[in-house]
Amino acid sequence: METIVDVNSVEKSYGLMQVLNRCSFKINEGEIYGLLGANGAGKTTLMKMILGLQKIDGGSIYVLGREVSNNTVYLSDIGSVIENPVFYEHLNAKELLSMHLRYMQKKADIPEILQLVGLERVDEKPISEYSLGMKQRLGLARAIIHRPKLLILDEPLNGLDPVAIAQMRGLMKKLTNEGMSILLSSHIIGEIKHTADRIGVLSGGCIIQELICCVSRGDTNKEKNVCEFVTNDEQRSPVENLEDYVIGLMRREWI
Amino acid sequence: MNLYKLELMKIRLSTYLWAILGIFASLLSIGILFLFIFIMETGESAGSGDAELFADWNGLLALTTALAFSCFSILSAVIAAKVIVKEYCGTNAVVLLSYPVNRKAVLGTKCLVVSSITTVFAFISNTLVIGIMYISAHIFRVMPQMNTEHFIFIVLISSFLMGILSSATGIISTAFGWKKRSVVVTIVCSLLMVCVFANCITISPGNIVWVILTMSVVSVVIACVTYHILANGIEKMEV
Repeated sequence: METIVDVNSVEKSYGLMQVLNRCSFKINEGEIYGLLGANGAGKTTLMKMILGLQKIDGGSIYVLGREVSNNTVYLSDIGSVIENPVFYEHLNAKELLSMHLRYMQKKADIPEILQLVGLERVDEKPISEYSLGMKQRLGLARAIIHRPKLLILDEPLNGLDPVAIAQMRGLMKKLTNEGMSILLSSHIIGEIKHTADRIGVLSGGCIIQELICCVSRGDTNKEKNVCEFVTNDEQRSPVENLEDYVIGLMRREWI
Repeated sequence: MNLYKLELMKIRLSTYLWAILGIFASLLSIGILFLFIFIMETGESAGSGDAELFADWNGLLALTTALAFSCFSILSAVIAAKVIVKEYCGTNAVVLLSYPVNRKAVLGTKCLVVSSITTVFAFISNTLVIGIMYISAHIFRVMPQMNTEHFIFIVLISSFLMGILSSATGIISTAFGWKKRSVVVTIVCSLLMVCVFANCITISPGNIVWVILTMSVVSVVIACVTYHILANGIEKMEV
């Protein structure tokens, strides 16, 4: 399986505060990697570093075999929704997506994508009239319309209603089945555990534990979101209660 | 060209076109007012003191051009603040810098959008205003006439240079707005520059072309340096 993202001993500081300290992990092709961490753990910083929006103080990041640097070519293979998606609000969804495609120098069927995220009925409305949930959907549409190989989603389910959350989870699984890899971050454990194939717990500036979903993709159990996680080490210890386990890990790190 | 069209898509051009139309209407009404000042002053103290500027076409051209420069410089700063300062200092920067496009090229296109809109409309507006004033004065015989061909040449040249000067002023003020991460600072800076430059334009109405040419050359050089500073800042920018 091809490695899409290789984060290797990455370090990042803001002044005297070290946010990331020798942080390492890999994302494989067609995998959903969940990045779990408390507020301010460095999840967004890490995602921005992969996108080249933040400079790397130490270590290296490889995306699709290319080292992240001033070269921007690899960005055409990445789709992202970082923090709250922002738009040119006087445009409508069609115009916005068409502009995005021109920047990415790619072609795609805009109505099809809008239908996929449930915005086909409001595609002529200016974005300024959209609700928060509709903007999240549009952000996701913008991130996937150019068929990237890597999708970076920073807390993508914020502002979505339960039906939309279920739809988004289904969409993410559909995209990974088509070969797309997803890096998903959240501080909400429930959000990650229903979606991710692998979870990286980010605390103290590095991945302190990796958990693997022990049910393979496409398995009936996985489809029902009852995926069980085991630790990604030699013991492969099963995790009974993910919430308690992760909270315990983070507390230990804080102490 | 593709980047230029994309930048135009991002701004609501119609808003600026309405603003330009408003500037044109204001300049025209003030220009016509200048003609009346000349009529009122002819019987009394024409050619002396402050009225000297209204007594011949060189003075009127300098005044109208200075006013047009003031309006279009501030418009240029407003557009620059919107397309450069607000875009890179606001939340849009995350999206803008995630595109596989050279950052310097995008900034260059943004500067080109600001310059082209300002220069083209400043040129058209000033030429039209002075043209209408000249024709009105010719019909109503309120001003001493001058060699039309020579006058047209001076108007075209000075209007074009004024357009360039206005756009350069807008770009220069962006440097200060960028440093302070503020749209307001950008506009206030352009206001301060306008106060100085507009007075310079009216210093010697007889040599208006040379005065504006000198100012334009200096401003364009400073604007290029500003672009270079901005480009380096954006190249290293972290969001």
